[in-house]
Amino acid sequence: MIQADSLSRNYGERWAIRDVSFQAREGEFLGPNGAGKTTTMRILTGFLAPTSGRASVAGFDIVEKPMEAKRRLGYLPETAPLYDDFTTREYLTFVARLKRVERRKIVDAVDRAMTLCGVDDVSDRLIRNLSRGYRQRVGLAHAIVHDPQVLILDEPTSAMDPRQIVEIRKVIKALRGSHTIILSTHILPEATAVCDRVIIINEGAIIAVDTYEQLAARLRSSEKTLVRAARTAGDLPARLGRIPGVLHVAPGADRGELIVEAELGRDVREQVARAVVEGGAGLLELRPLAMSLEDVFLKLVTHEDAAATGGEEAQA
Amino acid sequence: MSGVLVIARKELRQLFTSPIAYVALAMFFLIIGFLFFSLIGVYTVQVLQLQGPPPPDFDPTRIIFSPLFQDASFVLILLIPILTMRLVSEEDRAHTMELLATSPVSSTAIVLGKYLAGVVLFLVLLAISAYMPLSLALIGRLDWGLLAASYIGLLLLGGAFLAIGLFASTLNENQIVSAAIGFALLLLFWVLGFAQQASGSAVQQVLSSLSFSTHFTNLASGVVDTQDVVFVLSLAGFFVFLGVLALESRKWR
Repeated sequence: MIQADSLSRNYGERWAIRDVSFQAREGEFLGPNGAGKTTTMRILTGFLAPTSGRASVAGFDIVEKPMEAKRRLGYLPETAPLYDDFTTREYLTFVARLKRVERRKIVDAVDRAMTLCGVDDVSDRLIRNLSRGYRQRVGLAHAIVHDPQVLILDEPTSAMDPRQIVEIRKVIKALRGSHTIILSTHILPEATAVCDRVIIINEGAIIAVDTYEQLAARLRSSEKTLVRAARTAGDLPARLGRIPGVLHVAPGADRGELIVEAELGRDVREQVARAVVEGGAGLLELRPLAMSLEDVFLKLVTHEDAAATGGEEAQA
Repeated sequence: MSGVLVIARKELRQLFTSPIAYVALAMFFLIIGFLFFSLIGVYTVQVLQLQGPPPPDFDPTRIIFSPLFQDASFVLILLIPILTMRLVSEEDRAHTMELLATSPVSSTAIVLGKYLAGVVLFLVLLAISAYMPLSLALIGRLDWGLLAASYIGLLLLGGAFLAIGLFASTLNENQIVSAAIGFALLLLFWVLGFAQQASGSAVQQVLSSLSFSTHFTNLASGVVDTQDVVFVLSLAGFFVFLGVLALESRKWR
């Protein structure tokens, strides 16, 4: 549906993105601010031309056949492109005309988009007077009014309060079945909440494309267990270290916490629990440490070589 | 073509729901109305001073409207940049250019649509200004041919001014700066003709033929010369083209 083939773009001396290639039916761009997410999306939508490489939307090259590609594309930029002096309905009608919706279908298309995005109740209000959450939803409605095959959303939930975020995500999830959606975010939990596939981008280059679970699995090189005990002094670390399969015991972040690292694929929780209890240390908590998306992300972004070794281990 | 009309319609909707069109029109007619009033005064004095039958070139149209249109063209240098300054700059500021540029309309259609809206607004202005000759027609006889020629001249001139103002608006996202650039460009094209004494004869000829003032003197006095028409039209076309180029080049910058 969306294909990017070694896209590069420079602004003077600085490369915003370099050799970005991917193919997506659906996906999510994840990366810190300034990583190149917006530049990539602007190229995919034809707002910017790539310095080199090509991109196509629904099978149409965005540089060579821009009209065909743009007709099949809905794009919500970071700042929703709204005309303050229009009412919601007027604005969406204008967008429908601009996107070449057939004249007799315009009213229906506008109604449908307003219902989907939950903005029917402000249809006759001036956009200037809408709250931020409504503005963003009107923005989303403008991107889907012509029922595009491909939907590109640039940080659709930025600067919204948590309830609005949940609502917007609900709308996006509802659209998933019928549209190819690509969205970008630097809010990590969003990646797992909305999309299956994650494309992680940093400093203008793609560093991983995978599902979140596989990314987490790939980056894990050992099983970690957190132990919290009332009394960790004495020989407790040494006792834990003697358990077969345990590689390393290190103090945790808080007092009374120990992190037990064991070989990959080996569950040592039972032995750990027994050792703590028998040592009279007073077991308070015992839980496996799963990698959060933040960990995955930080690991990928801060150590690209870690990703490389992680990948090798996963293959081995 | 439909893209041009969709854009033009939107621009007109925005122009006429914001105060800017009304303020600009009011400003224009305040100044022009005053000039019209004082030119009638001039004409009245001349009529009172007449002794015997009027000479053949004693014609109210020539005495009142030719200088009026000359003055109007100068007021337009100030007025048009104010009408055009928001056309592209405002889209940049509000980030709505991203909507237009990622929609299935070409940069040419965007620029032409905006230009068309400007021309329609200018036609409204000309239509309102018709109250001046019409009110005089009630009490006297006017030279309609001369008037029509002057109106054609003013329309052509306005068309070229609008194209220059629109181009200025593509350069910057600040409306005030766009207006200033447009104003400077228009004034430059006006004063080019003043360089006559300053430079050699060859240069002087080139400069004065590039100047609005040279060409508009003919147009305003009712002489529709193909040379002047071609000049004004090609200037308008050139700046519309530059506007398209400015939008298109943004993708590559």
